[in-house]
Amino acid sequence: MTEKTILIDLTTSYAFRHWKPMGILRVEHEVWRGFQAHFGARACGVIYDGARDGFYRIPQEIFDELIFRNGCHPVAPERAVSARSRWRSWMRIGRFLWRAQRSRKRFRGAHEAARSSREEAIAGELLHLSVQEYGLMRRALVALERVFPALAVRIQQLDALHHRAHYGLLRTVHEDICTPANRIDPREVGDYVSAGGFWSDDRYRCAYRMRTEHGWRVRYYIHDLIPVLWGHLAEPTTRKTYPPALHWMLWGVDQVWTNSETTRCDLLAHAQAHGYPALDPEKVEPILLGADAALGASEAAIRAGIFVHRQLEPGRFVLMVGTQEPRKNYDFVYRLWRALNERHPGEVMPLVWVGQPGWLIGPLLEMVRNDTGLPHGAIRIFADVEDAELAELYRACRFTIYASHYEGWGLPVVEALSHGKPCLTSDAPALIEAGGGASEPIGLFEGERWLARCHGLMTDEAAYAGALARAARFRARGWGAFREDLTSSFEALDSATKFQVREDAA
Amino acid sequence: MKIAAFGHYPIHRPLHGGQRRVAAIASEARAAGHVFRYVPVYSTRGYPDGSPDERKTAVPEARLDQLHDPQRREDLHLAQMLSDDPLVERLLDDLRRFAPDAVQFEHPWLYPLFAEALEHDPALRQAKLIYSAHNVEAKLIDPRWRAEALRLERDLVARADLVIAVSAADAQVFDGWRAPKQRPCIIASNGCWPPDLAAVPPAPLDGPFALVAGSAHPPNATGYWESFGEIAGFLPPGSRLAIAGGMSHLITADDRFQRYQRMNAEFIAMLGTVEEDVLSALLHHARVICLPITEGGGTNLKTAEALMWGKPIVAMRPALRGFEEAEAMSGVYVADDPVQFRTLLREAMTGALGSLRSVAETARYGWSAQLAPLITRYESVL
Repeated sequence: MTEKTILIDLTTSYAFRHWKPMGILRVEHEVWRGFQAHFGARACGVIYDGARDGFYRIPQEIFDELIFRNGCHPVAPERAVSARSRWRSWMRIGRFLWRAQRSRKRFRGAHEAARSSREEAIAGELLHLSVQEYGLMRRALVALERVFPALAVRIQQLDALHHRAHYGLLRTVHEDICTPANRIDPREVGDYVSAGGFWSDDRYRCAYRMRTEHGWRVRYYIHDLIPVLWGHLAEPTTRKTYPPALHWMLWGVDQVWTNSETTRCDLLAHAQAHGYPALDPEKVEPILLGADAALGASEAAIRAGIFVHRQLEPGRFVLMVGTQEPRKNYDFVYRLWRALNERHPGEVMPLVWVGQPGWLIGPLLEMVRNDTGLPHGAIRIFADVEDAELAELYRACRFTIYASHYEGWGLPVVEALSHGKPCLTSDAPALIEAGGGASEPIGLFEGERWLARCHGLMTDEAAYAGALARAARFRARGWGAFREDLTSSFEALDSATKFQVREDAA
Repeated sequence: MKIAAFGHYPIHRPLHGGQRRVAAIASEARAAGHVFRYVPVYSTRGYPDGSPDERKTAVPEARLDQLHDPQRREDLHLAQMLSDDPLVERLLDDLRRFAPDAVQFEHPWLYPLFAEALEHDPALRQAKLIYSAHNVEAKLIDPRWRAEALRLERDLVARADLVIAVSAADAQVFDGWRAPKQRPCIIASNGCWPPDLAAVPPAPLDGPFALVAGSAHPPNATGYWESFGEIAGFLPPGSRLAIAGGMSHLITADDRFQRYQRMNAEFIAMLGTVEEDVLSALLHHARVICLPITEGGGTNLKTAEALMWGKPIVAMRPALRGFEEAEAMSGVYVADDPVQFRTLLREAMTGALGSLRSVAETARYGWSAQLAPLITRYESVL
């Protein structure tokens, strides 16, 4: 049993490989690194495929490129430009229809090979039409559909194929991974570890089933309960998909890790309040995240270049890092900076927002950009900051702010304190926990305290020195410690007596 | 004995608890040899499925807007609204022709229409007055209307020759309103018709499910939210909570339901109003019957029904009002708070809680047994 495979679900890293490895992706990477280093070949990185309802091993030869190097993206193929005259375009369309029909006859049949060859041939012909010519043909087909309603289905199929051909999605790396040879045999698996966005597809149902049918021990790393506890501030799709995923998880889990004691308490309270099977508190363990990604220093020239480019003076700006979305409470910090500038004109340092735009942030950003009551450049919005530059911004800022309504953990708090910078936070429990006594929590209803403290940290050197001393108390924790704690916890449970009564409706 | 009974809903197709009780009283009284005439004075808008006979005494169409005026109550102000309507004279003429030995009011609301005639009309003043209470209405009504309802209810209780209460607690309240020398209230609790446990109807839903049934009576929705909460964590994957009856519409229209729409689509089966045979099939196949009752008065005939099906029951304590002794029976699990309710429900759904309740044990909850104190006393009122 102990020699069975440990599946590490990397579906989230795979699906979002075009993203910078921040937050949840970073955790998934570190989980993989930890298990691979500790268990060697027993650990197996997999992705879940919803259409085939199974887990697939990521081939070794593309593993690093796919998971760690943002690689293996589809490449849009070249396609024809429009013909010089309309009648030539119609000639092309006629030729396409004739050749498409020929391909349909040539690769007749419903089996996978025939379907694939047929699609490939027709897609190749589609690329000999320009986008405009495809539109022209489509309009004609839609007109014909009135006489031959059965055409509707064909048009729909053609549209789907056209989309895939246009964006180079006809044959992607996904097809190379999801082959019968790479499909995971559930009988060979002992454990399943998920640290990603398990609510994005049906992987949690598959894991539940495997636990029931094949005795997999299922273990999840939970980042927060925002979509159920703070649903009004959660991204709308997650708000819908997360609750059922959490439901299945809570009915079929053997071990849970959380990123903080706050998330642990939230999870236990949620399970208890809604009637979920009792979670043994000892099997729900916080494994705090690391934060050494922001350490290290770039060359002086590069450093200087960054500040010239951003029109910032080192030591003379305040930093706020996080995805731009309502939960992060940019709205509050905007009003804070507006009030500071009104009360202390000329004394307020620029506030720098670093983060990619998230959901429902447009109206606030537009308001900030058009606010004539706010001095020009009082709030700078940087959505395109790489890790190295972010580290420089942390090093050079005066202090940082993180006024989020709620978090599972506070990575920006840890990063700021790791750089020795004072960090003012809201009194959200996870932020207080992440600050480890070195941050300065202020309640969001204590507006005057926020104003006074921000002004003090910008103008009162004695106060600032005190804040620096407080920040210096912070003891940073590296990702190595995270990996070690995680694998130790895994093993501790592995060697403990089998636990968890399996409750089932069947 | 000839009994004329008045109520503010039809009973041709009894759906909600009140209708079922009145229909049962009518049936049992007739079975005992009494001539029992039920006259519903009701809104065809609220109850569109009255029988042709029942429609003859419905509130005239032209009055319905006035009856459904949101500033007033359809029950409390019914008599006041109809006081000058020709319908009342027609009802009195019919009543005189019928020459009842007793006039019975289901709920107190229609009594003011007939109070004077019953007191002074030569053809009617000999008839005995029976009040068949379903609750202590003044306790349940919105505080805004409480004084008015209390006045009406107390007047009827004080004047009635016989008062029937559904629980000991209600009887105690009514006895407190009656003169010491008056006959004490009799208690006829709610019940149900014995189910055909031998029949095996086809399962109306796939997979295991817990069942909750209730009308569109707002306290049913209140009880639902308080007891189950917004997230049905107590349901194992693959199982569902089936909601039957008009309460479905109150639940689905609520923001709390919409909030978790995807999850609810998977775990909650909203059945709406169902036919009697479908309800029986649901009760037959349910793994557990839920009684999420947290407020209201009287006794709940859903409780009697659940008890007679012999299945595990998970109930909030108010659901056992009037059935307190049932807590000692096998398969009856009573929660004092919502967390306990959900935990019990989970255990029932996973098979950890079962039921060995026998038919003999629950026979006392049949309508015949429950209404016997009333039916056997009818003659004594004369």
